[in-house]
Order: sequence, then C-alpha cells, then structure tokens
Amino acid sequence: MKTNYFINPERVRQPPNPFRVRADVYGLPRVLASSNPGLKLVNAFGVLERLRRPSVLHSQINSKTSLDLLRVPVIGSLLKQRHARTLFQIPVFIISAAMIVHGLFGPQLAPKNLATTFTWVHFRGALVLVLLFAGNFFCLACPFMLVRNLVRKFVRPVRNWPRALRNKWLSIGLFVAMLFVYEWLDLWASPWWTAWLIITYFAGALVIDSIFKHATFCKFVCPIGQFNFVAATASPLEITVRDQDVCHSCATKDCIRGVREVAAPLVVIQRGCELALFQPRKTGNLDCTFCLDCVQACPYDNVGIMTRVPVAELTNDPVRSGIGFLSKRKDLAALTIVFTFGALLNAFGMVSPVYALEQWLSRTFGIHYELPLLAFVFALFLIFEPVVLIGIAAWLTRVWGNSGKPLLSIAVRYAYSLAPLGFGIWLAHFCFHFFTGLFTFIPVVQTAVGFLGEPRWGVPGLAPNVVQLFEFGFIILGLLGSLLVSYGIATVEEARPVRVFIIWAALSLVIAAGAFWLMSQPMEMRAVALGSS
Amino acid sequence: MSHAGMSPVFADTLEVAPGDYRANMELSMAGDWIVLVHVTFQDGTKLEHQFEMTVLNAEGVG
Repeated sequence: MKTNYFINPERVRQPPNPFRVRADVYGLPRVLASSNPGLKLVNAFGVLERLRRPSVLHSQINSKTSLDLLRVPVIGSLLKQRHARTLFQIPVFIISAAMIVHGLFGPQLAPKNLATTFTWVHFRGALVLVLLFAGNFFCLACPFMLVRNLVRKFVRPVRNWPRALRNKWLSIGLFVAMLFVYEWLDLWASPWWTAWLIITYFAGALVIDSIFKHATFCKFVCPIGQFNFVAATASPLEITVRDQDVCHSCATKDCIRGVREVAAPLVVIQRGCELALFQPRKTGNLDCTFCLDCVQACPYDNVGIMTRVPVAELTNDPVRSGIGFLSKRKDLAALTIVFTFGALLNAFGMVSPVYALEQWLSRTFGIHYELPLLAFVFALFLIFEPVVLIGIAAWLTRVWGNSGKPLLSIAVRYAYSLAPLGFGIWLAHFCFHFFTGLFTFIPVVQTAVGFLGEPRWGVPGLAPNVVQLFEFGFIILGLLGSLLVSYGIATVEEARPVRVFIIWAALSLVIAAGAFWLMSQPMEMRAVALGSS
Repeated sequence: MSHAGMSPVFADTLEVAPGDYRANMELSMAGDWIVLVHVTFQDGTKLEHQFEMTVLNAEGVG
C-alpha cells in the first residue's frame, strides 16, 4: 500500500467504526477477571480497560484528566516560547562541537575523551531515560536541525523526497549500519572515529534537508530518530490536541499547513508539522520529533503535551496521519523488529560469549577477518532469529489461534508488541553504562578544560551489582509492556484472544529470558584477535 | 578499560627489589585494558608510560 506522505486535511475521511470486542470482560472468563489479584492490580491503573476499549483516533488521552505539560508553570511557559526549541538546541550544539574537537585533537584514550565518554556513556543513557520518563525531547534538542534551520535561511530546498524512498527501509539500513560500524570499528574505544560519526551526521542532515523539502532527514533517514520514534511509543507524554471540537471548526489547518501571510498565502510565517502529522488525525508518538511547530502554529492554542498510558498506542490500529495503518506498514514493523533484536545484538557484543562464538566461527570456517564474522553474527540476530521466532509465532496464531489472516499480516501486526521489551533491553544496556560511568565526565572535562583542578578519576559511578538490579527491572518493565500490548491486540482482533496472547507472550518471555541471560554474563570489551588455532 | 565510562582500577606499587616495583590490581572484567604508569622521582620529575594488555576470562578465551 502506498503511504501518503502528505494528507490533504480537507479530504481525510472519518475512520471506520471501532472494532467489536468479541471477548468477555478483558478477554477472560469473568471468574478469572474478577478474582485474579494481578489483574485487579493492573486494572487499578485503568490500563486493561483502556486497552480493551477500542479507540477512535487517539482517545487514549482524555484532555479532562490528562496533565498538559504546556500548562505547567515555568516549564509550560518555556516550551511555548517561539524559540524554545532553539534554546534547547544551542547548548547541545555547543557540547557536540566540543565533542568533535576533543575527539579529533584530544587524547585518543576513550575514557579520557569527551567524544567517547559523552556519546557512549552519557548521551545514550540520558536519551533512553528521558524517553522513559517524558518523551522524545532529545529530538526537540537536536543540534543537527539547528544547523539545518540556519542554512535554510539561505538555501531553500525545492525537491520532494522520492516517493519510492518514503518509507523506513533506508533508515533501517542506516540503523543496522550504525550498529555494525560500532562493533567493527570499535567506536566505543575510538574518540577519532566517534568524532567523525558526529561530523557525518551533521553533514548528512545538512545535505539532505538542503535539497529536499520538509523534515525529510528526520522522517526517512535519521537512524537515531527512528530509534527514538519506536522507543517513544513507551513514553508517558504525547503531543496532541486538547479539544477535537476546536479542530473540527478550524478552517485553516495551520498545524500542518503552517501560518501564512494573509496577503501572500504562499509565504509561511510559522511552519506547520514538517513530518506530515495532521494533529486532529495524529495518533501516538511515531514520527513525532516534539519540534513543537504545531504548538506554535495552532491559532487556537489547542495543542498540548499530554500525559497518556505508555504503549497503549500500539494496541489499536486507526489510520494515523502521516503514517497510515500500522498493520499495513511492513517497514515500520521491520523497524520495530530490528529495534528489538538489535537491542539483544548490541548487548551481546559486549559480553564474553561473543568472543567465544567468533573464535569458534573463525576456526570452523577458516576465516581470520572480523568483517565477515561480524556480518554472520548480525545476520543471525537480525534476520535468522526474528524470522524463525516471529514466523513460528505467526504460524501458531493461524493454526492454534484460529486467526484467518495471512502469516505476514499476523507477523506485521504483532511485531509492534515487541517494542516495549526492546526498549526495556536498550534501557538495561545503556543505563548500565550511564550509571556505572555517571561521574566519569567530571575528570574528562577537567582534563579537557585544564583549569578546573586536579582530575578526579577515583569515583566513576554506581557499583555494577547495584546497577544490575535496575537492568533486570527495566527488562521486566519492558516485558510487562509487551505482554499488555499483545494482550490488547489479541483481545480486539482475534477470535481466540487467549490462545493468541499465550503465543505472543511466550515469544516475549523467550526474548526476555535471552536478555536476562545476556545481562548476567561477564562483560568483556576487546578487539577480536583471530588466529589460526 | 578501553571503553569509556568503565571503572578505572588504581594501584600503588611496592619496591620488591632495587629498581623493581610490583603492583597488584584487581581487574573488574576481562578484555582490553590500558595501563597508565605514573612515576614521580625524588626530585619531583614525573614520567608517564602507557601500554595495552588483553585479559583473558576464566575459560581462557582469547
């Protein structure tokens, strides 16, 4: 199905009627639903009820009961400022510039360099924690877009991104490439290569958004952005309209068309959403960079940053502005799968068993170069493993769950249920480095600046055995999210929801077990030494 | 450790024989380590030396 990049708001039809709920209360016999203490606890938070109730558009958010961050004193006023985004982007840009300079010209020892310390320890950890507790605010503060916006004052892009590339396949390839290069070139140990990665990112964003209109780099290219989009499905905040009735009476649709000069309608005074997310039809956080252009553009101040039930957006499948139906987006499903299994892969690359595996592969196939061996491991984790596991689950959904849908459709629909668990594994991994190396930036900054006293190397962060508790907690949190999502999807879309839920819950449990095993392995970071023995 | 953010390990040396100094370090994990030796002479002169080593795990994988 072709994806509409730009939807003409006047021609958007009402979504189809909500799905019928075929199951009994919560899809379980009443005696279980009423007596199960676990279900009572979960339902105390209204979670199951919200997942069971079919949604129209994005009614996960009730503007009367949700908190609106834009109405919170100080924070709200700050975020509503016209140049709020620039205010956040400037310090991040300065830090990025310092990282590039130190990475190229500073000490080439990773623990002593800003580029490696900030990128692989603090940025990754802070990113996932902000996504967990807030939303996609790192995209809000993106330094690449700061430079791009500056250049666009002088260079106006005139081309549209090619239709054949208006999907996530290119960005999936780049995401995998980044993970691969990270392992192959040992970016975690190389300030110089890390600096060049940041430079390449700036160059890529600049070149693409100087040629192509709108937020092409963000929507179709940026690997970090795609990671953020999938992870943000688990965030508690979402940019959305406060009152749908206000939007129904709006004739100008500024949130997507932008604010235009009355005398010259082709002149845009304030951008609308450059990612083609028409606010009244926007559902969830996918493709939303929290740029706040819609907030600035809305003439009725009808767009807020609202609290919501995390991951609930994955349980329903209305037509989403700028995205379409999740169930028909194979590319988005593939992105979610790579996101999840990539989390396992990235963690696997840092524990002892990976070296034993590569040594065995080297001896077995007589290959003494890391590149083909790494490619094999990547294929194992990102192609073979998901195809087998998800394929089996989809097949069982058909034969035992009595689902009448094609195998691929089942796999696509339920792939999204893995996103919370994938996020939990990324959280476990990145937060390990973040918390154990929490204070390592202090002596690095002291060394880089030179006049902040004797570098204090002695206290890096929290003890690893303490941090491991957080790791397991994050995996459990992610697992719970995946169970809830797969339950929510099965309840709404299947004739035998309990059986289908059991199948996909089992898959989530298998992946979670793998994650627990990984996080329990002794860490080991080194270049692979391949010999003939 | 060669990865940024990993806990550094510190150790002081003991002179076991004239000109022969030894330190015991409890390394937190296997893998690539970078050892930085800081020497301060009696006259205050300082010397630094860096070398790398790979530590095998308990199974001796390497």
